[in-house]
Amino acid sequence: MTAADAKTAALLDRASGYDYHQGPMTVPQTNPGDFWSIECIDLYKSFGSNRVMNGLNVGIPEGMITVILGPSGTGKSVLLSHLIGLMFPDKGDILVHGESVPRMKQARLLEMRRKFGILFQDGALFGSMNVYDNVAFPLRQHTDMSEEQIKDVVMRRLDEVGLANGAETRSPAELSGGMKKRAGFARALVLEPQIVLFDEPDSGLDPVRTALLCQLIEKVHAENGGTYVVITHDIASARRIGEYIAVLWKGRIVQSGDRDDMFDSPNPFVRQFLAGNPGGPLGME
Amino acid sequence: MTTSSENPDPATRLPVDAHGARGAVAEDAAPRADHREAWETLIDVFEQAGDEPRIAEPIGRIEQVVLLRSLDLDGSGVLLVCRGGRLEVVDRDGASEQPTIELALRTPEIEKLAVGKLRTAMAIADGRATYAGPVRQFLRVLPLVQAMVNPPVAMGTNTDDELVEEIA
Ligand SMILES: Nc1ncnc2c1ncn2[C@@H]1O[C@H](COP(=O)(O)OP(=O)(O)O)[C@@H](O)[C@H]1O
Ligand SMILES: [Mg+2]
Repeated sequence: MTAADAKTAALLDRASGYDYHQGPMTVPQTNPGDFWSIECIDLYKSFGSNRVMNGLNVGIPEGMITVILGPSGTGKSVLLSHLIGLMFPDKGDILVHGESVPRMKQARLLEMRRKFGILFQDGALFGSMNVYDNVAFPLRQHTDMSEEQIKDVVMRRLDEVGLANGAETRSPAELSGGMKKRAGFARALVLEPQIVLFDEPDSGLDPVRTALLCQLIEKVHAENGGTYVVITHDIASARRIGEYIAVLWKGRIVQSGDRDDMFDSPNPFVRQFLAGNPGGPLGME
Repeated sequence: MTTSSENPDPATRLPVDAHGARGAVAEDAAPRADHREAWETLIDVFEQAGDEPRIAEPIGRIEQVVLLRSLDLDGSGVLLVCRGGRLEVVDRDGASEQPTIELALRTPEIEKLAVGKLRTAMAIADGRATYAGPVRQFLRVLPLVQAMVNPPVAMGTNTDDELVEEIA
């Protein structure tokens, strides 16, 4: 652990221990999934003696871009796997649109996953296919659309992410890191998902390319609506696109809320963490 | 149709410490005319959205009739008929349609929504707006309307264009 990481860890420990009690949810839902797109309720998950989730609670609001923010190794990817039923909790429940994921039968789980588009860390493109075929893949796999219809959708999505030129000739290996992510984003969108998950979309990108990708995410969200969940350790990205922010530390959410509430948090340690200044006055002791 | 404050199912509630929501409702000091003006601005926004196929088409695919009401005005509100790829704003009085969703807002939230800045799910979660029915269906497409009046920063406007070219 670097000295900076140690300071962040110390700050987040203090943020978790701060005795500010967040306001109650004043409005219960009439039915599960009324306005939360995803609800994680008291999740526990261990790998052997490594407890990764330790009573994690968070609601992901519909129609907004949510950022789940936490340092590396805090269980962000593990949480993401739980949302789509690739991992199951030891205890607790995950509701997607009000429906319990751990309780789904296999067939329902496969259907449920089609609500999601996922942008994996490296774009997860098939190296043997050109960019066009990569983006067309989910349509060929999951729909009976004609090649003509597929071309329509694929070109629209590639255009949306600024990759329409040369998609049929370029292979993923010829793309820069930022372009790979764009191609992965186009592929995540072709089945018109209601929820789009991004696992560290900013990893491996310099600050300017990260800013551009964030703008693209905002633009595509504005054009399509739905729930976007961005998982990152980058506070700058969270600040840029998070409309709703949840801070993850030691298997729990330290605080979550509307971005204005978060940057204005009564918890001084959360404020200092979001200010990107772990070595500041509060972390010094 | 019940409102959200009736018939709460405790089993579906998230534990209270999971959220930073606040219950405070803005003080109501605005004169009536301001309530009316904010409301009419919002109706204009939805009418404009209805005229814009790029926005109306996806909204019109949710197949819901949304009753939109002001909590600060008397009157029955309007219906947003979202059906068959079209979005139509119709007066509730005399309409044959029955709403499937209801969303009721106070003037401060109406003003924010009309300029594309309301985080509507949060407004509901912390009690500044009330709802009934499967409101999530409407929240899902609301960003399209909000972006119409409050577009996100355009690609490349705050970075140098050469780089945009290079990575686009
Ligand atoms: N399949 C697995 N088996 C065992 N341990 C795992 C597995 N996946 C993740 N972990 C552990 O869970 C913790 C959180 O990992 P991860 O979710 O990848 O962190 P993050 O994405 O926040 O960087 C780490 O300690 C990691 O070693
Ligand atoms: Mg990870």
